[in-house]
Amino acid sequence: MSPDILDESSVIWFGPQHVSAHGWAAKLTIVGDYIVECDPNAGYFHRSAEKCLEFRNFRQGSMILERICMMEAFLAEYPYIAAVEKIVDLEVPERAKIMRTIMMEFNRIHSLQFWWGQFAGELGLFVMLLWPWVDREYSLDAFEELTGSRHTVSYATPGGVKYDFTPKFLAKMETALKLVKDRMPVFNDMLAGSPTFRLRTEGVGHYTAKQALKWGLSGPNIKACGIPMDLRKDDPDPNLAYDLIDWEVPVINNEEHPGESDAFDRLLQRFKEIETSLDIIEKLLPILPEGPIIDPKARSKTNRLPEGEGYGRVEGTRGVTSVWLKTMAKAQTPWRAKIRGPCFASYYSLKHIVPGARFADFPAIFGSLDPYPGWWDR
Amino acid sequence: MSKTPGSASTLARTIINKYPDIESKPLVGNKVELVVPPEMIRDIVSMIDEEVSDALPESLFGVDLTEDKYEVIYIFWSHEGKMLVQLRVSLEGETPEIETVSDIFPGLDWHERETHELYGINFKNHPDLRLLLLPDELEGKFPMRKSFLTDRSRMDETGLARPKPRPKPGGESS
Amino acid sequence: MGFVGNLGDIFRILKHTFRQVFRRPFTYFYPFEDREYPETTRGRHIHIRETCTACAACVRACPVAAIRIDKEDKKFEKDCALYFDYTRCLFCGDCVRACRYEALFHTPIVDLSEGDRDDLIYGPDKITTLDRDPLEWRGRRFR
Repeated sequence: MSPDILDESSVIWFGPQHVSAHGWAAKLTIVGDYIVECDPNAGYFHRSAEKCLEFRNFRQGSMILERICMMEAFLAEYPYIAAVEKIVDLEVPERAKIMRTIMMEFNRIHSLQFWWGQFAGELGLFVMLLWPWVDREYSLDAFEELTGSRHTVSYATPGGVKYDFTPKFLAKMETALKLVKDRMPVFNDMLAGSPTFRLRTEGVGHYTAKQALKWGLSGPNIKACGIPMDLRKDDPDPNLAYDLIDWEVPVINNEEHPGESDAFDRLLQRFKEIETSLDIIEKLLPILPEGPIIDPKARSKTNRLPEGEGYGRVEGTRGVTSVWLKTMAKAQTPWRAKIRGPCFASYYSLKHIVPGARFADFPAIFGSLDPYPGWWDR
Repeated sequence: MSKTPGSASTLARTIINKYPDIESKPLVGNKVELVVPPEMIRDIVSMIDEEVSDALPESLFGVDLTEDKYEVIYIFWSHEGKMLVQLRVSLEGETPEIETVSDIFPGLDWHERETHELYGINFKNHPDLRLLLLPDELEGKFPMRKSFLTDRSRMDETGLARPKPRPKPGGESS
Repeated sequence: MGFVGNLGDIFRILKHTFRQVFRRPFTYFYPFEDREYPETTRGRHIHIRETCTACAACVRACPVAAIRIDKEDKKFEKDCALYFDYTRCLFCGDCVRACRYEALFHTPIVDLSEGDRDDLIYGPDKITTLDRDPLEWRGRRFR
């Protein structure tokens, strides 16, 4: 980039009022139609969740966490609970383990349904913005039937889960999942089969697996490069039931560019994620045993925690979600809670992915990484 | 020395063989924790970069231990070795300093910026230490330090008796 | 490929769109018509003073300090008055779970809106009564 090109450049802000920039803004330096520099800005949603957690006790903390990312509320609150359970060594009843896992996968499906709509909407396909969101209502209805809240479920608690499955919930979940399954081929035609969509996403937002690892990308963004990095398989939480069943990590291997991924690969990857989640729920439902759903001693055990450090991790919809917790002796509240959001890395990586792209491709690159502002601002 | 990521104990042994100052904590699962002196952090992180070919820079954050003592913790994850590496660096002083590693792992760039603005830990040679999350008026206040007091007046409105202050650290109940 | 090569894709998409046209609309005429709420819905609370024992478990469980307790205000033998601040409440359900005396419940009323901010602080009169019944209109629920 010689300096005389930069003389012609202009600087514009993408967001925070732009419709597809919901709560974030990036400073773009543009020469003609090409972006030469991207400087993503964070902090529009900063609510200081980490400081808030220092003043909440161990049962209250998860309420704060699930408000970071409404779309995957259960997946967001879970790492905190896992960290608490690691410090106190709580063993969760078998039934609660499986219920947590089912709910987790159901929440992942819901989050990906939302993402379909969001991604298509950012690219201007408003039909596909609304269709998945209508289907998503059925998932939300099922959450409401079980927990009483549509988004922020606050379902798990240290030592188990709060609400038991009812036949009504199971029926509603079946309706929602059947709809997802039925509509998958339709959405596949509408997105992956659409010539307009392919033109806008193929070859856009390219990166290699090595680059992605250096930037800290995880989850579907790196699985699209052909690396089956999935915490559900690699480092399953002892209080989840992923090791009870046989399932395969969804991974895309594009033969045209192995070890790399573009926006279209990441779309296909997320289709596969939904298939895997459906598969896991299908396999877990028959082995759901009868029994208690919460350890009766959990409440008294979590009043005061011993000194220790716990690192709870879970594979979220968007990548590795983790909470690092430090407690002092006889602590009622955590001394330090660090939330690692998956989108912190994917938003940062815009800085490296975007330069060189056309301005019109920016929403496609951004949307395909599936970032959610709550995760980097916390 | 092979380039393939091995188990956590092999990595710990390789690092300790080269730099005998480093202590390692007992392993739980395939997790290794190394206590690193602050001046050696760049050596260790670049060594992890060489030894573990698919190291994912998962997290970097500060911990305030009060009385001007801080810790910086680096977490790396390797998919192939299923291995978690945690580096722990103890720092002291009013404005503690440590070398940046953002050129080795670009993903830690923003984590360092965040730790800088929230804890006041200075990362030397970092290219760009602007504010990331905070508004301008909180610059230099370091809100995640324990000495930064927040407004707790809401708790008085509940009508409950105030909890007695406990001598040991552990935070107030809310 | 060009336009002709894409014709198959385009017709397939048109087929899906065409089917969607003949579907029932999903939306509700909201103020006149409401959806069914399940019994578990975490809406506004109802406080039953007959069974309340003023143990303040709900106040301690609240993560956002939205509940104020007044132990002096007694209507029965050992109850208390609760003030719920719905500008703060998260509807997390922990106060209801913390109550061991069956004195605090959620109701399926979720549309809380007032003209004034202070009206959203539900005092002991408002929190112990339900002022709205779901009405029927043309066989549908109507508020």
